[in-house]
Amino acid sequence: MKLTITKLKFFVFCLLNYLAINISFAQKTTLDNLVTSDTIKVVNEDEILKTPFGVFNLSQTTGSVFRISGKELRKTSGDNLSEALRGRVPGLRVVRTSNVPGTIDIENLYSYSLNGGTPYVLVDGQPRGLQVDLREVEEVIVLSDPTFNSLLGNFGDNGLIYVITTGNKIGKPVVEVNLQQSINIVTRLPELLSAAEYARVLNRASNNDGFGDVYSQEAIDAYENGSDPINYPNIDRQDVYLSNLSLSNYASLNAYGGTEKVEYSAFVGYSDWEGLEKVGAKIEGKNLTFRTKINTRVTELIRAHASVYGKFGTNDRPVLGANAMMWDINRIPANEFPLKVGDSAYIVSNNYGENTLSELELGGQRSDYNSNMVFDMGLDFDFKNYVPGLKYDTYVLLKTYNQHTLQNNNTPGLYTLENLQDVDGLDSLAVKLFRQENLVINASRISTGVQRTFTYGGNFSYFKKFNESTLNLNLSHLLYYNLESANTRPDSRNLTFNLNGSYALKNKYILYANMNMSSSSKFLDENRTRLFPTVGVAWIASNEDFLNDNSFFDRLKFRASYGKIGTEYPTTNNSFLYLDTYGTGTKTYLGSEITTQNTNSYQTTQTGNKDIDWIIFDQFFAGTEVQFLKKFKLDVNYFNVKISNLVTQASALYASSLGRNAYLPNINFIEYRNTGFNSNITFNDSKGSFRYYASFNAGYNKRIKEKLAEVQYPDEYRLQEGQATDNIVGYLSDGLFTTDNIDDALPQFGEVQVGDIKYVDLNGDNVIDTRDQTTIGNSIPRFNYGINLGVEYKGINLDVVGMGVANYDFNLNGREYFQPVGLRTYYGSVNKDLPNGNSNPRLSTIPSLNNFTNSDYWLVDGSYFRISNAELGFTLPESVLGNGAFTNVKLFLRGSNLALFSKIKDLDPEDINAGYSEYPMMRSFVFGATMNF
Amino acid sequence: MKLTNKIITIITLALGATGCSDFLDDDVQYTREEVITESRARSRGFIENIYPDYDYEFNKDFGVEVLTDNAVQNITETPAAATGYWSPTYNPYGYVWQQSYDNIRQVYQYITLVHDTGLPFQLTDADGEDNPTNINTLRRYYGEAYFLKAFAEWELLKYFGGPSENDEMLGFPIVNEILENEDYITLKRNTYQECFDQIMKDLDTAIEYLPLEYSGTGISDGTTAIETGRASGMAAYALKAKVALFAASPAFNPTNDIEKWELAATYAEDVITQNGGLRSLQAFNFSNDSNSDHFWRLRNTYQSNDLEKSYYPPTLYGAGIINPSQNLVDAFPDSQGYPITDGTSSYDPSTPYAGRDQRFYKFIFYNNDECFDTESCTDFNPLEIYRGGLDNYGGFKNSVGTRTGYYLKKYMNNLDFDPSSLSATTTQPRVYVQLGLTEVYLGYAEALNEIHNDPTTAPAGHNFSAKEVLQKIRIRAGYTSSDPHLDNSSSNQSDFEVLLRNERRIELCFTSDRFHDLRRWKEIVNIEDIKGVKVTKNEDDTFSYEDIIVEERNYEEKNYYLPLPYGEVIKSTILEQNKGW
Repeated sequence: MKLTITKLKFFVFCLLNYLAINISFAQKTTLDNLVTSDTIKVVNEDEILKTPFGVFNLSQTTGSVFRISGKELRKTSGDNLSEALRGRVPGLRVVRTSNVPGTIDIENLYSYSLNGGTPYVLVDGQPRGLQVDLREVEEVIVLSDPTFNSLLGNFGDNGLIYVITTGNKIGKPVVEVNLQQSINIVTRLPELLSAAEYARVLNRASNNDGFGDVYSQEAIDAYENGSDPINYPNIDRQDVYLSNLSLSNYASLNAYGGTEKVEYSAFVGYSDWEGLEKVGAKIEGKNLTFRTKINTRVTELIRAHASVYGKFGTNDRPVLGANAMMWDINRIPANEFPLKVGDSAYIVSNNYGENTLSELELGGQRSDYNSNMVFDMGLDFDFKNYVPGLKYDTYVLLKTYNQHTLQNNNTPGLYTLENLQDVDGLDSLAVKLFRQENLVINASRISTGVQRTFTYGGNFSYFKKFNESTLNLNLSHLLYYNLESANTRPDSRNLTFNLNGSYALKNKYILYANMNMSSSSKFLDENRTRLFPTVGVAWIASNEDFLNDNSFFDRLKFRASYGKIGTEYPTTNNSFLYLDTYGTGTKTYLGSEITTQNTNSYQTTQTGNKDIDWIIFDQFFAGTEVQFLKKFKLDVNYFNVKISNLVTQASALYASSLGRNAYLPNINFIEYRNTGFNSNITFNDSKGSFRYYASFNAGYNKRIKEKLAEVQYPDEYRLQEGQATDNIVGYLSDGLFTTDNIDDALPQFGEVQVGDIKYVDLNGDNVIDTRDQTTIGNSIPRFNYGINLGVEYKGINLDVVGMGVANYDFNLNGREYFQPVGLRTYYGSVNKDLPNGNSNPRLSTIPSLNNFTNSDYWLVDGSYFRISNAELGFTLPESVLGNGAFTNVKLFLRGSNLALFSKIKDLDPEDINAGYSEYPMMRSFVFGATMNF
Repeated sequence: MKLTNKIITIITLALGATGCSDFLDDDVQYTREEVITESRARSRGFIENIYPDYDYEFNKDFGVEVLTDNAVQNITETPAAATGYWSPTYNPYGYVWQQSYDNIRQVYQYITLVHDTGLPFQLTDADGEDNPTNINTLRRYYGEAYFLKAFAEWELLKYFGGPSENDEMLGFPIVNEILENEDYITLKRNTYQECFDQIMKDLDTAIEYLPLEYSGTGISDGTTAIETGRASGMAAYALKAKVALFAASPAFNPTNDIEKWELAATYAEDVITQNGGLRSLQAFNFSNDSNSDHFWRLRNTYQSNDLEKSYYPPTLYGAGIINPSQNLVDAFPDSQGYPITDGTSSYDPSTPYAGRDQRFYKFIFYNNDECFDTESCTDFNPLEIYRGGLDNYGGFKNSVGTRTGYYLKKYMNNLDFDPSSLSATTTQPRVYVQLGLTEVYLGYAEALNEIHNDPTTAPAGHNFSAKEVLQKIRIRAGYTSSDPHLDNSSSNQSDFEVLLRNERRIELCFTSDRFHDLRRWKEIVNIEDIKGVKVTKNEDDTFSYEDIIVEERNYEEKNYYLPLPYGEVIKSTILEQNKGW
C-alpha cells in the first residue's frame, strides 16, 4: 500500500510540472454527451455534474445535494446572488453585514454559514469567490457532505455552493433582456431625542449624581418652542441629511446557444445606484459586468474553451463616507449646535468637532474605481477512440483584482458659537474659529489595492457501464496560488489531488470512495502532504422490487458518508506556524534636547512548531430523500462533525511567568464537535391551470467545545469544556437594587446605588466577581429557516420568500444605543424599557462598571423573521406575442425586505449597526420586465 | 488497454525528466533568528525592547493614584479595588507578573544569544576590537541587561511580595535563565530576603558594567548624553535605595529589624555621595528634559501633548479625566509652611486657594485658577469650576466635568489648544522619571528617622541629618528663608514622621508611590473617604465652598499586600497566594 501511494504521489506531482497551460470549466451536461460512444442506456433522471474535481452523477451520489434553479432565484430583484439565496437553502444562513451602496467588495456585503460553518463557493468550478451576477445564474447546487467536501481538500471544511452560469448547452440561440428599476426606502432608524427631551434626560443623569441641572427650564422651553434656533437649536439630523428614498437601475443582456461544434454565451449586466444624502453630492455609482464563454470542438479528440469574466465599477461619493455620516447623524444631540449661521459659517461645538453639513457641501469628492477580472482557458480531451469513457479536462484560471481611489479632500472651515458681552453689557453672539478652512485643488490618489489568484487544475474521468452497474472514476489535480495583498501574511500555496470512484449496482446500491491528497506550504516535511479518505454509501429503496408497486413512495433514498477532511490553519495567523520569527518592537527615545536617537528594538514574535499539522474535520453525514404522493418531497440530513487539531498557543496550560505568548508555539490541540440537521419539505400541486407550491426549510446546529486549553477553575460552572462555542459568559442578574435591598448589596463593582443591577453570588463567597460568571446565553442563531410560497394562474405568478433565525441571544451590552453613558448621547431608548422588558438601569454622569458588564439583564431573544423577497409577475400569453420577435415577455413587481418581525424594534437585529453607525437597511420595490427573443 | 498503458508510460517518463516542484517552499516571508542575532545593530534590540515597558507610565501611575485618597477618575468609575471590592480574580496589576518575567526572559535571550557569543559591536576595518566605543558599548549592554532584570524583579517584589498563609514573608519565584516552557509552572516563590538579595546582586553587577551617568556631547563612545534614558550606575544606586526602603517598611519588616532601616539609609546615602553630596534640587519644570536630578528618566517621544489633552480642564480643551481630591488639597500647607489645620496657619476657609504652598499652584487646577506656576499670573481664562460654570458638567463640554472640584496640573506644560490660536505652542518635551533625587532624599530622611531619635543630627556612620535632607525638599517647595514648621517638627521622631509623610505625599503625588507607601506603612486601612468641593458662585462674584463626599475608600488588612494573579495560582500546585487572598 505504501508503495502505491508513493508512486501516485510521484506521478501527480510531476504531472503538474509538465503539462502545458490548458484548461476546462465545469459544466452541466448530459450523460449522453459525456460518453457518446459508450452503449449505456441512460436513465432519464441522471444528472451529470462536471466539476474540476471530477464528474459525478448526481442521481447516483452518496452525497447531500440541494439544487435551486436560476429561474427561481431570479424572482429576487437586483443583481445579487446572495440576496436571492436568503431563505431558500436548508441550513444556509445568509446575513447582511453592510448596506452601503457601492460597496466594492460584494463578498463583504453578506456573510454565509452552512450548517454552522463557512461554505466554499465555486462558480463554474472556479474558485473565484462570489464573482457572479444573479442575472446569469443557471443553477445553484449546494453540496454539504463529505462526498463533495473531500474533493475540495483544504477548502472542504464546510460544504460547497456551486454556481453554474448560463450557456454551454446545445440549443437554439436565446437572447434575454432584463430591465428593473428599484425604489429603495429606509427601514429602521434609531429613535432620536428632540432637543428638549435630550435636555431633560441629561438633567436626570446629572441630578442622579448630585451635580444639579445641566439645563434650566428656560433653556428647555426655548428648545421646545424654537424661539431662538441659534442659541437653542433643535435639529432633526435624520430629516436634514437623509432623503426618503433612493433609486437604482438594473439592465442586462444575456445571449447563449450552441451546436455540436460550438457552444457560446455572452452576458452584459449594468447596475447603478445612489445614496440617501439629501444635501451636497450624493453617492452615485454604477458597474458593468460582462462574461463570455466559448467552447468549440477542435478535433474528435480535443475541445477547447475559454471565458472571460469582468466587473468594472465606479463609485462617486462625498469624502465623508456613508457610515460616518450615519454615525454623525445619530450621535450628535439635537441641541448641540445649529448647523450653519449666516450663509457660510458652519458651526460645531467643543463636544463634537464635526459638522456633517459642511462635509457634504464642501468636504470634497471621492471616486473609487475597481476592476475584477477572471480569465480561464481549458482543453477537454476525449480519448473515446482509444479508451471508451476516458476523458481528461484541464484548465487554468487567473483572477485579478485592482482598485484605486482618487479624492479631493477638502477641509471646510468650522466655527464655535460664543456669547460675549459687549461694552454695554449686552449679550452679543460671535463665532470663533474652530478649524481653518483648507480647500485643495488637486485630487490625490489613495488606497490602491491589487490582488491575484492563480489556479490550475485538471481531471481524468472514466465511465464504464456494465450489465447491471456503472463505474465512475476520477483523478483530479488542482494547484491554487493566492498572492496575498496584505504584506504581513504569507501567500497561500496549495496542491490537491483526488482519486475517487463510485460504483452503482442496479441503480439501488451505491458505493463511493475518495482519497484526497492535500499539500500546503503551511506545513513542513511529512506533514506537508496528507492523505484524507472518504467513503459513502447509498440505497435507493424505491428501486427495490418490494416497493415497486406501492403507491405512496415515488422515491426513497437513504445515504450516509464519512470522511476526513484536512484544512490549513486560518490565514489570520500572520506567519507560517512552524517558524521562529522575530520582529521590530516599540522604540524608546534616548538623549536630551537636540542630541536624540530612537532605539532599534527587536523581539521574538513567534516560536515555531515544526510539527504543526492539519486541522482535521471528521465528518459524518446521513440523510434521506423521500418523494411521495407525487406532491411531496422531503430531504433530511443529519450531521456530526468532529473538528480536531485546532490550533492554539494553550497559554492556559502554562504559567504566564514564561513570558509573552510569543514564546509559546502554536499546537494542534482544541477539539470541537458540530452536530445538527437540515431539512427541506416541498409541496407542489395544481388544479387545472392553477398551480401552487409551498416549501419550508430549516437548519439547526450546535458546536460544542470538547477539548480546549483552559485554566481549571474550582467553580465548575466556569469551565468551558463541554460548552457551546458561541456561549455568552456573564453574570446572572437579579433585578435592580431598590431602597429595600440596597443595604444588603454584596461587594460588587464599585459602589452600587438604587437602580443598579443586582447579581447572583453563584459560589456564595459574598463577593460578586468573575468567579460568579457562568454561561448566560448563546450568540449565534442555532436555528434558521425559510418559507417559500407561490401560486401561478394563467401567466400570473406570486412568489414569496421568508427567512428567519431563532434560538440565540442578542447581547445589548456594549451597544451604545441601549447603553448611553455619561452626559453624552442619549436616544429614544432611554425613555422606554429594554427590548427584553427590563427597565433601564440608573442613569449616571459616569459610565457604570457595575451595570455595563455582560449579564443576562442585557440579553434579549434575537430571533427575527423577515419577508425577504416577493414577486408578482405577469407573463404575456403566447397569443399576444404571436409570431413576433419575442418568444417570452414577463412583467413583474418585486419587493425585498418587505417586513421584519423581531423583539428588538428600533434597530434591525440582523445588522444592529444599520441605520445607527452604518448605512440603513433598505426596503426595495422594483418594477421590471424580462424579454426573450 | 495496451495503448492506454503506453500513453501513461510516455507521460510519466516525460514528467520525470522535469523534476518535481518546489512550489510549496516559501522561505522569504519571515525574519529568521540569525537576522537578529548576527547583526551587530539588531542584536541589541532584545535589550532595547524592554525599555518601552517602563518609558512612559503616566497613565498607569494615575490609575494607581485613584486607588488612594489623592484622586478619583471620571472616565469610568474608580476601579472597584479602591471601594471595597478587590478579589484575587480582580487585580489591575496582574499584568506586572507576566511583563516582568517576559523582560527577564529577554535579558537572558540577549545574554545567551548575543552577549555570550561575543559579537563585537561595530567591528569595521577602522575600529578594532579594542576600540573604546566597542568595549564601552558591549559592557554597557551587559550592565543594562542586569539593571533591567533587577528592575523587573523589583516590580515583582513591589506588587506581589507578601506573607504566606503561615506568615513567611515571600517574594516571587527567582528565574536566572531561560527554562523550558513546561518548567515555569513548577516554580515556587522565594523568600522576600532571597529576592532582595538577588536584586542587590543583579544591581551590583549592573553598577560594575554601567557608566555612572551619560554626559558629554562629543563623538559617541557609548556613554555620552545621547544615551540618556538608558540604565546607568546612578540609576542602579537609586534603585538599591528604593528596594531597601521598601524592605525595611512595617509591612515587609514585621519584626522591625532595625538593620533593614540602617541598610536603607546607607543605600540612600550612597546615592547622595555618588551624586556629589547633598545637592539642591532642581526647580519644578515639567518640560526640562536634561534635569540632573533624574537618575533614570525615559520617554517614548521627544515632545508630546497627550497628557494635556487627557487631563487639562475642559476650557483648556482637555478631557479632565483625573480629579485630585479635597483630601490632597488639604495636605498642602499654607504659604508659611504650616499645615492648614495648624493654629498658626494663615489659611482662611472662605478663600481656600489664597496663600498656599507654592506646589499647590503647580500641581492642582482649582476654581478661578488662571496660572500654571504661581498664585497670580494670567496664563489662561479663570477656570469656572462652580455650579453652572464652563469647567463643570454641562459647561464647555457637556460630558466633561470634575467630581471633586479640581483637575490635575502636575506634569502639565503650558500648551494652547485653542483652535482659533494660529501659531500656539501645542507640544513640548516631556520625560518620565522612574528614579530621581527627590525620592532618594525622602527615603534617606525616612530611614534615618527610624534609626536615630534626633532628626537634627546625623548618627554615627552617616553624614547627613534627616532634617537637613528634608530641608532640601522644603527649600525647593519655596520655604527658602525660614521654615519654622520644619524646625518645630524636627524636635522629635514622631512629629518629624508626620511632616515627612505629608511632604512625601505632596512631592510624590501622581507617581503611584502613594498607594505603595500606604501599603508599606500599613496605613491604607486608615485612609479617609474621598472628599470634593462644591463651589457656588455668589451674586457678588465671590465663591462659596462646601465639602462633599465623592467616593468611599474601603480597604482591609489584606490590602497591605496584593494578590498574585488568580489563574497563575490555580495552574500551579506550589505557588502560594499572599495571606488573606
